[in-house]
Amino acid sequence: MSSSIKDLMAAMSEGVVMLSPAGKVRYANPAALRMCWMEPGADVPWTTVRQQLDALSKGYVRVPMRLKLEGGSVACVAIEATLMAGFTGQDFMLLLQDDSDAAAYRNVTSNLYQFVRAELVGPMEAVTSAVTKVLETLPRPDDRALATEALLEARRAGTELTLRLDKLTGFAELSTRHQMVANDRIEIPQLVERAWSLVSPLAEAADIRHSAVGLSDDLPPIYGSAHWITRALAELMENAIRHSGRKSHIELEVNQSSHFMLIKLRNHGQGVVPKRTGRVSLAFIDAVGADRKKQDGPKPGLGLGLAFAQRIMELHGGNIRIGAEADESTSFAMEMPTGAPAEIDDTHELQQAQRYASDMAALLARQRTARTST
Amino acid sequence: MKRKILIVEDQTDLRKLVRMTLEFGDVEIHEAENGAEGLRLAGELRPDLVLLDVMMPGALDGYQVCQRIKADPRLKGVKVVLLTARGQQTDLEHGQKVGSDAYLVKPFSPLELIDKVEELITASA
Repeated sequence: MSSSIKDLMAAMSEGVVMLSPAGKVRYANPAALRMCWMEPGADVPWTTVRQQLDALSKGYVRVPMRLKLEGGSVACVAIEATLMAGFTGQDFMLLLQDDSDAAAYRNVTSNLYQFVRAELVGPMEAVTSAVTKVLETLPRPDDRALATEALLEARRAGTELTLRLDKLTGFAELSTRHQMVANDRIEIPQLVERAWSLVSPLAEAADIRHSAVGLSDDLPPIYGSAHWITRALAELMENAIRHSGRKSHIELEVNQSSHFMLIKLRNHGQGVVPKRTGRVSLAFIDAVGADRKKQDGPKPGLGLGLAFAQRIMELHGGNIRIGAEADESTSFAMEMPTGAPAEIDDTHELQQAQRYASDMAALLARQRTARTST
Repeated sequence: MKRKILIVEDQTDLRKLVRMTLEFGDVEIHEAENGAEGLRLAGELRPDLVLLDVMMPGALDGYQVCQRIKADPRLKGVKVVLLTARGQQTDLEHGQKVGSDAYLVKPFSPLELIDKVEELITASA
């Protein structure tokens, strides 16, 4: 291995292990050794990897392949690995990514997801089934009219609950999938337009209009998942709408500051409770319950939607802020870094290094021929 | 006179690799690590060719830098090659829309890079 490639490997935050076809460690960079100690010349410490190498030698499987491995240190308990072809000959390369934090988070959110399924979805389906039966079996027309009113209210509550479940499952999904694989180029005017179109029925129902300042095609793009970022902005818009008075107005303002883009929504309505202003926390359950009890307070749904948006923003290096304005209006702001994420995509970097390594000999031969002929 | 090539790429290692590849030829290489610096250097140096990464952090990505270079009358004739991991058809179309002369999808081969650079520089001679 050339010294420049070795320097590149040593500087990488991801683990890289070079392996012989028989599963012997030829080289492990410092990041790999922090995840699991291994000696040059010894067997690679994961049985799964050795089994896959054996299967590769027989032509049963192909590289690249993704593997989940156990970490070998106190700090590292889970590893996401990619087994791929090495730089030269028959060797292989194992790219390691410490997945410990994500694994713990997935575990918690998976529990939450299971809880929702077991505790909320089942009973809701039972309620729906029961009210349907009641409607069908009521004997007198008067009873039917009264029951219809109550059942319509139940249906409204059911719809609201379904929407919340959708957000909650989306929230869980965000934690169990690699959302940041998406690197869509997102132009701000199109983002605002798409997000508003998602909430426009809600705005139209309350006769709420909006105006925008600072939207221009010259604004820098942001990069990330267009699907999730649109949902995050739509959540902010939905909150601004839900906490506005009927026939009111929402102002949307876009500003670029340094390397960040700020999209700010300001409503004119009921405002939010002061404890919810500032950076949005992920504890959404208490907010939902507490808000519901107040007749004059904000409508339910404040906590979950904003926590959902905040999680999306965190995954993209951004933030959500709520501000109580002096005139009793409320501002909902979304802040995101402009341009591509600063984090290096190691897979691309390694693929590029592999390509260079494999073509370097041909390049040198070509230069030698050119020099000889001149 | 040596031809001038400006490399605009935020990943230091890749920038060095590209420099090393192109230094085989008789060219003068300049580097910038973000879009704003790249645009400034393009104005100052008036290079023959700009190798431009598409996805860079900051206020200007590669598409925007390319668009501004192509819109600047002082930089008429400057060739722009976009370097990117984004190989979808829509990305290629966007590259054409902003006026790029070529589009190399990562991981690209050093041979491919040299051939493309030579082709464009020869055409502009």
